[in-house]
Amino acid sequence: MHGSPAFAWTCAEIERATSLSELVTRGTVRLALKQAGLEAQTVSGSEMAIVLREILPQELANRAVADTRRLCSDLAIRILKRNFTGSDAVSDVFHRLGGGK
Amino acid sequence: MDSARALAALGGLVFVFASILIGIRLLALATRTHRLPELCIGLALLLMGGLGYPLIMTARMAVRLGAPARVGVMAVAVVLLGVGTLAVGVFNWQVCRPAERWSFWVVVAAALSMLACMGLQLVGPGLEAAAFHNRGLGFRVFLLHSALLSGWGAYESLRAWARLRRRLRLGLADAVVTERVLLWGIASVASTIVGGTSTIAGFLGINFAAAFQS
Repeated sequence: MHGSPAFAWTCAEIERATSLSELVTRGTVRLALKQAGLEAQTVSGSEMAIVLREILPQELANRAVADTRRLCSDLAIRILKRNFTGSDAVSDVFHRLGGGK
Repeated sequence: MDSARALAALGGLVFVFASILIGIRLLALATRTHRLPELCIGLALLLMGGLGYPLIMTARMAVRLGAPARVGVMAVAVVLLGVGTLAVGVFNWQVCRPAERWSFWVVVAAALSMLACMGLQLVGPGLEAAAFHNRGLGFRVFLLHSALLSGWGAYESLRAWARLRRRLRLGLADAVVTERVLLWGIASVASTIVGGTSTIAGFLGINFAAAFQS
């Protein structure tokens, strides 16, 4: 299954900055997203920024990556500038059902 | 026994009025937004809870109506329930699994299966048996479809709620929307239980409507 642009970008950047393989990187990011209640297919850039700040530093540290706070903080700032959009049909629909747009 | 009947009647009435009220509200929303999910969920509530089930009860209990009228009422109820049940399936597919082909095929299979069930009922005991005595395999399995599709909806909405709860901790979800998804999940679970138990009761020869006639 393909991920969203935010997911693909984050995985590519972590792979470039660390010695983790593509498989491990994608698995690590997917695990972090699952902890946050998000999905690789639909995650947006702003959601990924929060995952980068709150969850991924610890997940990457668990895989012996050094200085994960600085790396993730840098990626979080950069991803926000990319304006990656995401979608969440369930939230959108149930928001509308209450009379919202 | 009388208090149990009164409680069941009150519960049924509240369910019907709530279904009509919320169904109409959601259909009004759909006319403004032109979106399929609110149309589906509005149709499901109005056609099933608001009209279909009360019409089935009318066909079974209104013994003063002539037999042809009762069968006609049952036929209308079956059409409304069929459309409402499909609307539940389309809602699940479009909202929870829009990108997955199997969910589309589940809805198609449910539509074909409901048609087959009614065909079985018509060539077998007929709509009279369903209307007067809650009899007929085709009719009972037809009613089971709404329980199955509601069960699917319950699974999807409770799963979505679990995800939203995790997001809520990170400030990535709206608390009101999260609660709304939970409420829909609870309603779907209740609908599954009601549909499932009434079908099982039918197989066991229990006719709930008969309890109100005596």
